Amino acid sequence: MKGVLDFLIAAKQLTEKPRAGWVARRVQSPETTAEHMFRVAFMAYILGSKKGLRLKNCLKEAVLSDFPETKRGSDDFLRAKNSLAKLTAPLREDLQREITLRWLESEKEISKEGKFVAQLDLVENLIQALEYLGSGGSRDFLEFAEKKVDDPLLKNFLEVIKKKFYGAKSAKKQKELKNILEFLLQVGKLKRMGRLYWKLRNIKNPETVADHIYTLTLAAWLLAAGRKELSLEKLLKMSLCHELSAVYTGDTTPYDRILREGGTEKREEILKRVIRLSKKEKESIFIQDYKQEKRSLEKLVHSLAPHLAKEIIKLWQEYRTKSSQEGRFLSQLNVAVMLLQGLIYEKKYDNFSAAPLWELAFEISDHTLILKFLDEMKQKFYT
Amino acid sequence: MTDEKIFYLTKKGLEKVRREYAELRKLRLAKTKGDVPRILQSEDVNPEYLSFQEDLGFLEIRIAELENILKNTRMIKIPPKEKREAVNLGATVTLEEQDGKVNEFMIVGTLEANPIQGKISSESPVGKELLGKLVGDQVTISSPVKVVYKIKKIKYQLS
Repeated sequence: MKGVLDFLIAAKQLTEKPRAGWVARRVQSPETTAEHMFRVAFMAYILGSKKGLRLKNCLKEAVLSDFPETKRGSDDFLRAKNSLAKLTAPLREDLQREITLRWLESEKEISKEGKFVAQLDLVENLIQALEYLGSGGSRDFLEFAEKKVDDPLLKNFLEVIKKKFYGAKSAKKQKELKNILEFLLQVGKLKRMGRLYWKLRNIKNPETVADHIYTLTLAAWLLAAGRKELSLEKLLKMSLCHELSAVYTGDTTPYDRILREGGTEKREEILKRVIRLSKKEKESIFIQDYKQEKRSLEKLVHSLAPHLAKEIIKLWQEYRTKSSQEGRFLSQLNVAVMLLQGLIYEKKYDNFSAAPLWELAFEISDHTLILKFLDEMKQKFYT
Repeated sequence: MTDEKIFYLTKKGLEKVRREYAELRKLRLAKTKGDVPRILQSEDVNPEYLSFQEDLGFLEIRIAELENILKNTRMIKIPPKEKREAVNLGATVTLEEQDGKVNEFMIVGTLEANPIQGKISSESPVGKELLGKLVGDQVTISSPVKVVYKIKKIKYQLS
């Protein structure tokens, strides 16, 4: 467990560092490496599913695609490989082996999934370039992607991108791919959405919803690996989808309504600790939030292929209502990962306290793995 | 000797599990009775086939999970009158802090727990600390931050 915690703390750097390429192009407040991998993972889920690839591997490769950037900050293969070896050193041997294998698969394009994810990485870069630089400033990204991408599905996807952003003419009708592109553009908003919990507590440049989803996905993989009672593929997908509704609702906390309606005293109290409420009040807040989030999610996924839309909503429901093993595990891990971020902030900022997050974690957690993880964090940050 | 996990459920929780189990079995039957989509559609994998497989996969996993729950369920019942003074599964506990702030939880098994809805698991650190306590008892939740509560009220109302 200590190894997993050390690895995750190292990985948290990916949620802080802006990507070097955008900094060089003078993009203001560019995405972090984690945010880039977040959308690559979404593309792997949606497009990998359409292609019939092994999604579990696709998703793992996506969250590792730029992982060695935590240490190297360059594209040199050997340095990246050594950097990855250093990062994975605290982990169990089976995890070290798997991470190295998955990374190599996409880096060297030695499996169907690896090759696909490597090409997705380029397509995501292009979409991001279009969002930052517009069609005029992103030509070199398009040329590079067109040169490297040979997957038929992704070539069609590039056609759809060209049609939308460059006004290119295409004879093919690609309604489904067009809808997928629109969906991915919406999902990209989460890269720019700072998490409300930290913003309310005056954390400067806090992690975004996308950063959080990235860390949670990585943590779910590392903690659930080898646990037969948990479906890892389902967990990884669920983690990606668990806060998708924020695209339209904005990031929320269970106490937003009270924060909006309460006076200054109530506000101070809420910010210092987990608010105390009756069971009835808690239930009422939950139901209102649940309905609002569900509506938002349905709006977001309605144009995706029906089976995919249904799956995303089902995964979110299981998470939100804790109605499956994976849903219960992930909702507990979600708080633990938030606590980890809180502990990092507590160490960094004198006036920030992780106390309410500890309280929340002690109310929500009952899974053995999560309780061990909490213990490990206590050891690491308080002894 | 197996050490299968026992799931504690309220009557309402058990009914919900049974209902879901029956619905999913019906759905599985309906799905497998109809035409199974073809794997390939020209050279591409048929998305309908994938959807069918994914749906079926999800169904099978969930049905197996529910079967395991139903096999290992113990129903949470209101304890006899003389034992209702203590916190046990099914109790709604009202807690008061030194500054007068009041908090409330219902103690349930892991399957029904959802603290955002005011239901906490008897296996969570807070749940464990509360079990067996009486009205007037002091409860200290020792995370790195110490929270001290006094038990103000214990109520059993499972419906």
